Amino acid sequence: MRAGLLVLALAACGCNDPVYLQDNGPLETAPAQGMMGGGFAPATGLYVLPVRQPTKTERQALGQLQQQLMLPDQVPWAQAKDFDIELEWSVKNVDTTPATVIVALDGGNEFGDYVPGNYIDPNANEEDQAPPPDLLTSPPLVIPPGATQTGVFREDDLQESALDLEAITRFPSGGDALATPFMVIEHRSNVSQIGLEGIPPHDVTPAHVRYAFTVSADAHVVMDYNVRVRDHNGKLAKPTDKNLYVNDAATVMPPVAPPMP
Amino acid sequence: MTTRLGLALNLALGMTVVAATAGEARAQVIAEPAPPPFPDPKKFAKGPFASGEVGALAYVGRAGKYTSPGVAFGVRLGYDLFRWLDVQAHVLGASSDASTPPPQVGQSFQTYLYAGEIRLKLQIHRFQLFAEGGAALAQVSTNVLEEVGVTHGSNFTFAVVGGGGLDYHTLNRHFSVGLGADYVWLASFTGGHAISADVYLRYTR
Repeated sequence: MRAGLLVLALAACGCNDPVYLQDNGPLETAPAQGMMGGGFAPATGLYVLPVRQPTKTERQALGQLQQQLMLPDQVPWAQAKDFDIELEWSVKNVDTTPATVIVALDGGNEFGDYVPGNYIDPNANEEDQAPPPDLLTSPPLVIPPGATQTGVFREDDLQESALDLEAITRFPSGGDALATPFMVIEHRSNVSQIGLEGIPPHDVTPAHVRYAFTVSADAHVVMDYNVRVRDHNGKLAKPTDKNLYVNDAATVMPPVAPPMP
Repeated sequence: MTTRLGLALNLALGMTVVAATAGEARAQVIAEPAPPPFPDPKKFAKGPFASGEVGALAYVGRAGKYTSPGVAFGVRLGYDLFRWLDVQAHVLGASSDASTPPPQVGQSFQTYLYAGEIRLKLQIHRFQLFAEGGAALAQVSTNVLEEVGVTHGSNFTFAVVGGGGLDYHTLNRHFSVGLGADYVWLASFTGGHAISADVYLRYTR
């Protein structure tokens, strides 16, 4: 009886219950202007996780933690271990022809963004001047007219992208900011540590809190998404709150940026 | 003369033996007494009781459109004030799947009910018909139903519970089993109606 009551009490406290945050509006591909033969321009959108500001005591604790762990850079406030985040999305083909769709996710942590287009090596041969991959992508989806397809970027995907962002935005491998995205995004950290060598020991990984979506399609499609968050340390705020912690500018320059061409 | 006396003595001895033997035969236990077909309800235990229940909870109305029925577990702790009236605290937890439109698919959530109830009882031999009702605080574990307009900013609501069932007392004076069903009205959830049905085991001290 006591054990049963304890289980009920633990379940009722809701320690690990998710919160569902709605998107800022659907992303919709539109006919590209001035493109030969028509086509559709990718739709993009940014969602910033509402994280509350730390208190004075919490700021001091972060400083102390940095000294204690002997870290060269600031300890993040929005840490990867504070949140388990899942992005659920759906794409509806509102066109009259089948659509081939790819959903890609980039964005950044509290320190800065990863924008693949900024990581093209201007000194490489022209045929090698390709951008690195997106942090997370869906496989190409073929959606019949009028149909809707759903997908998800899972919690473990977002933990992996947080680690990739840490290497890209603050601690590139061997100091090579241009090469690091190619290394870390192509490898899962639980299989290979390639590209993560620059991250100092005992580092505290910042959470992936800025989500830059890109929907590419060859037809008119509409994408909706929502953000499912399990907040382990009470750092999540309401989207309507003011003075939130994470910068909501369109782009945030990372501490270690690739050289400008 | 001697013969008559001998016959009388033999007869007296024989009667004594028969009487003695018959007495011994009546004293032997040759079978367990059969249990009474209907135990006396007056001998059932009364006082504090606890019961555990398992069943299902299904939302109906608007909330039912976006949820599937789920398994429910509950506990009741109470006291028999009279043979016809109990007061009880009731905690119920149920897990349900949300069937919300995309992109929010494949999600589940839990419903918790913390209620204070009274139970009116009518005992008919080993059977008991009962009706129960009360007020509750209801909670859903997430805001998954917010997008479909069932919850509105808060996961808590005042609730009213009402229902009834049938109780069957075992031959043990402490234990009974039963079936129950309750209707739950969730005041601040739009279309917030639910029905729970359960089987239970009850121990009365």
